[in-house]
Amino acid sequence: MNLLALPLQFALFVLAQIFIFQHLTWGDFPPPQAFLTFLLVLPHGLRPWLLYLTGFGMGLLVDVAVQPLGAHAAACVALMGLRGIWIEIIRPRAGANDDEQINLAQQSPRWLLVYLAPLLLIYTLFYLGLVNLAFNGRILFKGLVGATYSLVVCFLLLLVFIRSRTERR
Amino acid sequence: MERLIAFFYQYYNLLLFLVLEAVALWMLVQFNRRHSETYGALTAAWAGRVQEVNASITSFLRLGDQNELLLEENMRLRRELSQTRLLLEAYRKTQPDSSQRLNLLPDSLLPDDRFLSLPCRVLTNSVQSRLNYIVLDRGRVHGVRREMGLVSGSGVAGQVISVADRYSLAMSLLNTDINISARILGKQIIGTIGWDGTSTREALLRYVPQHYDVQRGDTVVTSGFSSIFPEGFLVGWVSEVRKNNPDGFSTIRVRLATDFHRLDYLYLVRLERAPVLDSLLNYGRR
Repeated sequence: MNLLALPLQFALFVLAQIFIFQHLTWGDFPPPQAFLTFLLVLPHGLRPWLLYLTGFGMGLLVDVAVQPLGAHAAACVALMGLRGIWIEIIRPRAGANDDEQINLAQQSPRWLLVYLAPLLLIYTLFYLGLVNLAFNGRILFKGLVGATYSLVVCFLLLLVFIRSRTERR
Repeated sequence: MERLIAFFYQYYNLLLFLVLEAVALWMLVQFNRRHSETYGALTAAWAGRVQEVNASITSFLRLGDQNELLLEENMRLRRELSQTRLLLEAYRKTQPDSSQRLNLLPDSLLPDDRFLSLPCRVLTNSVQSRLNYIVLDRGRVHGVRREMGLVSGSGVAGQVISVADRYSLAMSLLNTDINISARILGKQIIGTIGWDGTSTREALLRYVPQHYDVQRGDTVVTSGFSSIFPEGFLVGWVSEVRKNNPDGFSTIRVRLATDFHRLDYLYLVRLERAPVLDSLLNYGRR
């Protein structure tokens, strides 16, 4: 994987989130958290501290444009912590390689769904809990809808951009 | 130091995770008014709870000091009561017409002998032996003298028999050698309270002739016929009367007002006229 492309992707995802996806709201449900696609498909072999710092930086940049400041950053760091644990639980054992990039080209859509859905749900609930400073049935419902919305968008992004890029290689 | 470095090296990923989470949450609270207010309210509530628990613990730990303060205050109030009694007595003497009005006053304000009292704490107290003693945390430097009376909040407890600089030894009422002059309240029947060593809840009122009408439930108080106890301190209540003794005296068992198993703080009492009485008694013995 070309590591030099990562900073560019990082910037693109942040800008896309702020200027495009943040406006794709539906009722009072949260917008799709498309920038998480970048964080979730980072190579599993990356050092945890680099993952935490990347998550924190990306969340903070989104927070600057989307208040409240600190909510996305906290949720992203938590997501990066959970990500490693969840991958260890669900990753295919045979032939697994730490340097593998997790995308549709290398994993089945079903596996990716299993990978993305719980993490996006936890992220959305954590984020909504921090923003609303509460956790009740209404927030749980908003979290479920928001996480589904994010899941669909992330899945499409993976299909359209990352898979096509991998195939070009 | 090496261990500390090794610890940081081993757990730097976890520490970084926690630090970044903390920074993000700090920013959330610091830069967002609603979060700041909620955090403030939460911390105030928690601080309040912590303070409440802390105050309870501190209060519990200071119970001893508070007891001392209450004893001091109690002693001050007793002195004031005693002074008020003296004033009323003086008023009664100078204004003979006032007697009828003074009779309407509560018993606590009726004239009585003036006595000194000193609060003290029980250091040791025995109840198992036939000769039981109480060690007190007040001594000569605090004004304790031999033959001062010892009373609890409920009733008579004993008398001082030996005094050191800072401690004193008292003979408990649960001591077979003790004899305290007592009377039946309201009947002017005089006797001597002593202990027969059988029950820690009961004593004997001796030397009461059989023809006197003593009933179960009668109140026994100190008679004041000595330099040790002022008159009227509660001793207990008559629990049993037997009149078939060959010596002509009744056997009167008295349920003690003081619970000797739970002694903690006591008062040392002494009549103000005690030195005069002592010198007269000594003169009579010569």
